[in-house]
Amino acid sequence: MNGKIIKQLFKKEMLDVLRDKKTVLMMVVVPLVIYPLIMLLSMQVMTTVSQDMAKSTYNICVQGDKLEEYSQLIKDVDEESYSVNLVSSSDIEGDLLNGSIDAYLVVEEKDGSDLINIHYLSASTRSNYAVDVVLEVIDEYAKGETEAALVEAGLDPDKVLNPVKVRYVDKSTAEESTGSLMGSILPFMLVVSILMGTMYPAIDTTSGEKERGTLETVLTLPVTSQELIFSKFLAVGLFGIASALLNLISMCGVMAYMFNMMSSLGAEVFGSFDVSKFIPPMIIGVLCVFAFAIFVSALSMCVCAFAKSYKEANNYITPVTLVVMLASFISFIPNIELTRNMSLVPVANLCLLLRDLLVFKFNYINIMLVLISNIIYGVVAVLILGKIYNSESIMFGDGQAGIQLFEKRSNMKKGGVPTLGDCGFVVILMALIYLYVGSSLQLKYGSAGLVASQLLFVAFPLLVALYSKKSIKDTFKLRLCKPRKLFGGVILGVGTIAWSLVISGISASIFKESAKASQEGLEGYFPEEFVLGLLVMAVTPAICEELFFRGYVFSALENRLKLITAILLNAALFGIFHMSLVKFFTTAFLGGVIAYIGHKSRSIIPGMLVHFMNNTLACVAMYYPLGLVKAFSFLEMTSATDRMLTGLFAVLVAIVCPVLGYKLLDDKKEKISI
Amino acid sequence: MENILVANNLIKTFERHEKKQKKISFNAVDDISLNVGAGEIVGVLGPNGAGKTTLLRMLGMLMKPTSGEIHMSIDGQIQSDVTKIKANIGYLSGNTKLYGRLSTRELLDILGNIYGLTKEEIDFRIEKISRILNLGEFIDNRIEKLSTGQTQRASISRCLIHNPKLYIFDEPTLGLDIISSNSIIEFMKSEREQGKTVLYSTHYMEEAEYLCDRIILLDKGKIIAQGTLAELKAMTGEDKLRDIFNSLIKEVE
Repeated sequence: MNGKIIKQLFKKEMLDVLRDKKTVLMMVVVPLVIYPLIMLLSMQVMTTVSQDMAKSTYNICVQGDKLEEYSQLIKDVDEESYSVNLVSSSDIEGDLLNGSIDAYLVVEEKDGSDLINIHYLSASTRSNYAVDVVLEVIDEYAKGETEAALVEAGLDPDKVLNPVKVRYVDKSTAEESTGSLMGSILPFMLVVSILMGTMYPAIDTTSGEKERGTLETVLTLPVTSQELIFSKFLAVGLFGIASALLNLISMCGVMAYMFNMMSSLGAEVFGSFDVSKFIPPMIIGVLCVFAFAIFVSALSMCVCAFAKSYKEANNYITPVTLVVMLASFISFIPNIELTRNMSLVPVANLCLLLRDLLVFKFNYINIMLVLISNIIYGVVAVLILGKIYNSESIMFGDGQAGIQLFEKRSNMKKGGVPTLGDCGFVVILMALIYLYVGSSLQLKYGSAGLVASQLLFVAFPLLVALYSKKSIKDTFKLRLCKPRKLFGGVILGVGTIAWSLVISGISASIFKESAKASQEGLEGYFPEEFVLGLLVMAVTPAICEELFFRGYVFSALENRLKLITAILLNAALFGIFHMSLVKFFTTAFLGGVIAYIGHKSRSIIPGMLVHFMNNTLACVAMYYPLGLVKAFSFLEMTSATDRMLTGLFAVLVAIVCPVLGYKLLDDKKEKISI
Repeated sequence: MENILVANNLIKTFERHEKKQKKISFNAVDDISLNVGAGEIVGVLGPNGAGKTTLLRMLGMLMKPTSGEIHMSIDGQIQSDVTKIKANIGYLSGNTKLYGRLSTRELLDILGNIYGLTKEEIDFRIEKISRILNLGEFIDNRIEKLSTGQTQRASISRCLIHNPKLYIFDEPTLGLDIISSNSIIEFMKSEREQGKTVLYSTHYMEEAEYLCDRIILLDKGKIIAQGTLAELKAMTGEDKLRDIFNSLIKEVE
């Protein structure tokens, strides 16, 4: 590479980009003006809302027994922030619904205690607040009554009511509390606005150049493609870093202002705010942010390089933006920590690192991992970019492999299967959905949540396929197949399951930790009854996962890639989605073979059956650990004939089944009938 | 006459995806060998899709041939290094647009530096080119603000900055009005007088008849005939280039 040439090309890119008002606006004005504005606005809204609440007077109606007593109790409420207006009503139900009263109480006296029915509207914020007010009063009243009763009985109310006392002592410093608040918002905002800042220069230098027709001009110059890419990357990377810096400065300014204001208002949490303590972690963070900015620059250039025009590039970059935003949302989730593995996840690692840094929690190994992984991602993206710029079909071609999903719907072609770009986008988004939505569903609703999270695998790709006007039949392989192929698929499946047991055994002995974790992770999710367990563990996954992996994903892959590449990719994806090292090899192997079965039979059904059989086996093993041994009691080797039988059985399952299945599926006469 | 550019057995294969897993590959340029002599104007003629642009892109080193080789004679030495060849070619086509946000002077300055000229050389060349092409009035304006004719002149100036030995022009007159296209035709003629070589493609038969020393007729990626106008006339017995072309195409079919 020639330094002089790079310098000149770089100069050209910088002049070109800097003279584009849109880019400069996006890069400078957005972080410096819009973001502080949004923050201040939201603060304003928050204070207005809370002030609004402060002045509230709630209309409450009391009915039933002990009317006088309770009316008096409610009527007396007149706090600094709220008061209650006791009203009477002839149509109490209607008044509640139309909002002229916020809640009403019906008191029933029973066996010496009072039952108070609070009628309210859970959908109305005001009504909810009114209930809170009422509850507070009633609590206070009940406490008084209890204490009086205890005193009457000659007991010490404090000792009886509070035998155990708990006191919280918050040892985190004011800086830490501030940091944790900033830690959730700052990473997200930062990541998004760095992306915004690099996006336009990236589009401008790649697809913009194609659109304006200057690319061919550059190609006439005595310049190697490395020099060309490097100078472009240098320009975009510089914009990325500049945008990161601007964002950081702007953010910090706004934050400092906010907290100063809050602490002057006397908000205790923030206490005395020492900005200087933020400097050391910030410097480390800034380095990571810069590395990230470089990675994002290269990434967006890669995506845009496929596009022929600004508009197309925008279509391509939208899903990237969405994915990056969703991934950076991770800093809002309290339970997820920056572990070693997490340090390697792009985007998420930076967000978590920043969050940690802001509460002065840092581990040098993780920081270095984040830094190094971001640099590596950047380098990989630049290398890919180099490949793209060396590929004539992309430079001179008409860019077809891209993401159709963000084109105008009227421009989408009807029928066919999804493009590779669409598929990639759906897979990444599905992973995020599964991670965020799926896992919280599972945590909250147990086995029902497990089923629901499985249904996501069908719902999301189905919606996308419908939206992009794909042929549902082709995309999800919703066809019947010939009985011979079905039989062949199942037979091959049986052999595969046998082999997968071997693989599972081997990987369990290699990855002992992971095996233990995955065993523990399963507990508690499954219903007690076997039939329900079968439904949750075998039926739903067989249908849902197959429709997603061997339907949507594999159709897209096999349409464009070589069969072996498509199968391997599908297998790897299937393995990765099971999120466990020990399961990876088994599931990937199974997934790969099922993909092959799907390819040969052109139907989803044999694959579903094999998947179902495999999971049923696992299910039986789980509910009836001894049942399997009983079912295959002849496997217990007692005599010579038994040993012979066992050997025969093993050969049959492990060798004859796959070979026979393969033969049945592979029908030369029927080749290529599409 | 010394050959400045020699190409042997050039083939360029493109692949196209069509529907399901079917890759269709076809040769846009199918086994073409040609040579361009120093100081001549060679015209490449053919209908749309004949492979003119692909051929010129390969000769201009913008595209790599699938197979075959290209040599250029530079100062008596045979070169096949891509950057060295590019440094001696001025390539112009309908697709080589200019950076709208730069001025012509800025562009020429940057390009001069990329071609490895010294500061003095660049200033001298800009001065000279500005005189030849009459850029004076708009040389410091942003290119996006220029008129079509001015842009065309700026485009030509781009090809001149490094004083190349060979010009490769891909349909330079396509879509231009008569005055703009005349200025390009006159430019090519005057450069030939300076001892420069021009290889250019067009599908305007009359233009080629008027300008070219030698003509290469292209159809479906193959050369169907080449020679001087007189040779082609003798070959077919026709008088007009248009008729020559038609009769040759019939022969092939």
